[in-house]
Amino acid sequence: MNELRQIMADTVEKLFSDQVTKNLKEQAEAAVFPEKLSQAIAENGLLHVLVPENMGGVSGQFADAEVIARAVGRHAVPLPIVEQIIANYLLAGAGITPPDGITVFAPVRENETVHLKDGVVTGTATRVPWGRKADHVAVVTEEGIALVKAEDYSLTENQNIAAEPRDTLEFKGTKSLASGNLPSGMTVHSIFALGAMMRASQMTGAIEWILEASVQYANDRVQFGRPLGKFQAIQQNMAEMAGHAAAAGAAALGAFQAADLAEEGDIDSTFEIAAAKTRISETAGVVTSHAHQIHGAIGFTYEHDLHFRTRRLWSWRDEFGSDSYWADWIGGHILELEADDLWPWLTTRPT
Amino acid sequence: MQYFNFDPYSLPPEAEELRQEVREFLHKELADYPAVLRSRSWAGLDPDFSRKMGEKGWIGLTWPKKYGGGERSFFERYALLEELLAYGAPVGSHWIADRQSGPTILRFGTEEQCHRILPGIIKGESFFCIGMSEPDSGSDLASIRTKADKVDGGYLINGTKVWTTGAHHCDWMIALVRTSPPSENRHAGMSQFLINLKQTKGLTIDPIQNLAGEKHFNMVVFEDFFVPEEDRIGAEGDGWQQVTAELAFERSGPERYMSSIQLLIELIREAKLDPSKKAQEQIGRLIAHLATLRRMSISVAGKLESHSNPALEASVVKDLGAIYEQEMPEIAHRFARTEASMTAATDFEQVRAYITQAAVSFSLRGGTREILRGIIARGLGLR
Repeated sequence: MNELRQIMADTVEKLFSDQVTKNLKEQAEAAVFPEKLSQAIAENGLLHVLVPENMGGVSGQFADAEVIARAVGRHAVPLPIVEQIIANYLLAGAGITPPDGITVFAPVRENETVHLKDGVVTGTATRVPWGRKADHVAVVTEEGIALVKAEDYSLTENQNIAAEPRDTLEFKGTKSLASGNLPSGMTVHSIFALGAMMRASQMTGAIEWILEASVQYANDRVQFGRPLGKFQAIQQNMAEMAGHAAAAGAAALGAFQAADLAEEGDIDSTFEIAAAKTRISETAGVVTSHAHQIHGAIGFTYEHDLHFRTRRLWSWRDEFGSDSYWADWIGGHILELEADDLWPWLTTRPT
Repeated sequence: MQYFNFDPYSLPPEAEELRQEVREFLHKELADYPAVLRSRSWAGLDPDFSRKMGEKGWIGLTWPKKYGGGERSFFERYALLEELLAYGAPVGSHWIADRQSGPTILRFGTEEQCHRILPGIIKGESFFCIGMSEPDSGSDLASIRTKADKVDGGYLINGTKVWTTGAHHCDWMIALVRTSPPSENRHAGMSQFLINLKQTKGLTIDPIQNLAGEKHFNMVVFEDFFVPEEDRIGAEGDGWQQVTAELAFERSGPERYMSSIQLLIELIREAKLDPSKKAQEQIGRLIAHLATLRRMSISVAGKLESHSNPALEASVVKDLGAIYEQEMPEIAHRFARTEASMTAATDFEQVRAYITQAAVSFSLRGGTREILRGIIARGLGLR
């Protein structure tokens, strides 16, 4: 890990360990926005990790952002952190200095189209993460990126399984504050893929926390006169979960590294992102199942910390394309190859 | 808390150069090699092919030059193995010697043993098998009973080894046997020996047919079989520690996720003839797993290259890899429109018939799923 990445990792770990308490997460689900934490994150420059220095950012790589995304998942931080990172990246790419306050991006679903014509935005974006808390939205259209103000569109509240805001934004001829081109080499679909990439890393963070909590519980909880972890049936399940956690980590990191290569113009990173989102979303069910099985009834209570991660996994595996969506995308690509070219093709991919 | 380390590695340019060279060689050598034979993967035997590999310098690739090795990196070896497996090359004759017997001798053997044994392996002329399991000792390897009693100039070995793949074709076995009676320390009192399989006195090798009709593995019976002192590997009593290291080599290669790749290739060929959304998505899932396993497997090669112990990570990849390899025939079955058979008209159905039968062994050989998960559980701090 390079120096910047290590600093990032230490900063987020300290910040989230201190501030993302169970109480804060419960409050957030009861619609009390963690204002203080939100500001602390902004002040630390975490949201500008992908923004160039000359626009007030850090000029970091995607692999630096990965460290943040993983910690967001690990600590189940109830804030639009990865969404702001992507929004700021898109704005900077379009030559627009990211404004103060919270900026998220939309649309976030593959089949939704919003249009930009002569600086005016039209269309509907559903399930936009934290739409209601945004001061601005970076709107992604085939025509380019448009920055709009919160008061200039209508909003309907909605949420995911983990009670994270997922709102509908309607742009009925919304005049943009500024607009610019999509980041070089990117399409609407590859921006959608960036969302999938962030979710892959967040899920990995959540899975790692769940594994540690499960191992801890297995060692602490005594039944039949010995810790649960001494039973072979439990060991087998924990080992299986650990394997999936390791695979998730490898897949997520691969996606971010590929995205950095794509940024340098070497490759199209959609395959690595698709593989990560597929692999990790597929695994979420196994991991949550084993985790709840080991925790027993206490893990099924709202009181216990486990559900903040498991409910997020059940939400995040669907968001920005489920495993079915991305597996279909990969399959479509593979079936364009000759069968005998599968291996030669795979070995050209970055590891 | 991080339980495992799967740091990413990129294969260096020299590995990719070697890959192209190997690919061209295989393309030429195996032009007419049928798909069903390719699907045997590293169980396919062809001593002539192994000798050609030896001529190319592709056996013992990482070993020291003074024994005839290539002194090349584990990444280059990794790329070589991947290509051999992807093409389904018949590498079975020399595979075990290259993967684990040679490295065991290199690491624990004497200079004399290295000079005597390794050059033959490297030339693709000297083949090895593994003498670990016994009729009453499978997963519980420490319970072995085959013993070596000290006599003038060496040892007399008595006992039975079983599931010894290739013993009937091989020149040597590395056997784990007791040199002291069992004690409270279950892992004490064992030693490894070089067993010269061409020395017939006191040795019986009987092939055992597997459910697919193949005769790969054997029962090997020792009756007062004499082994000279100079054929003991390492010190008396160090056998368990050595065999643990050997198993790490056995479990760390790409063959632990690539055994069913011929079926994946045929499945894609089949899906292109009869495209469906369902098949497309399923193939996408398989490729997502394949790419992830490959990253993890390369990371294990990176651990070998940096001389750190790959045992735990290798167990993780082998466990995930075996599940993946075993899932393949089940998925292929869901998409099949005709019946699988070794005498079917299509490559798809022949390969499917073979892999369906072979797959059950993938989570047995080289350490069962349960043993691997026990190792992983220990890594988690549960045992």
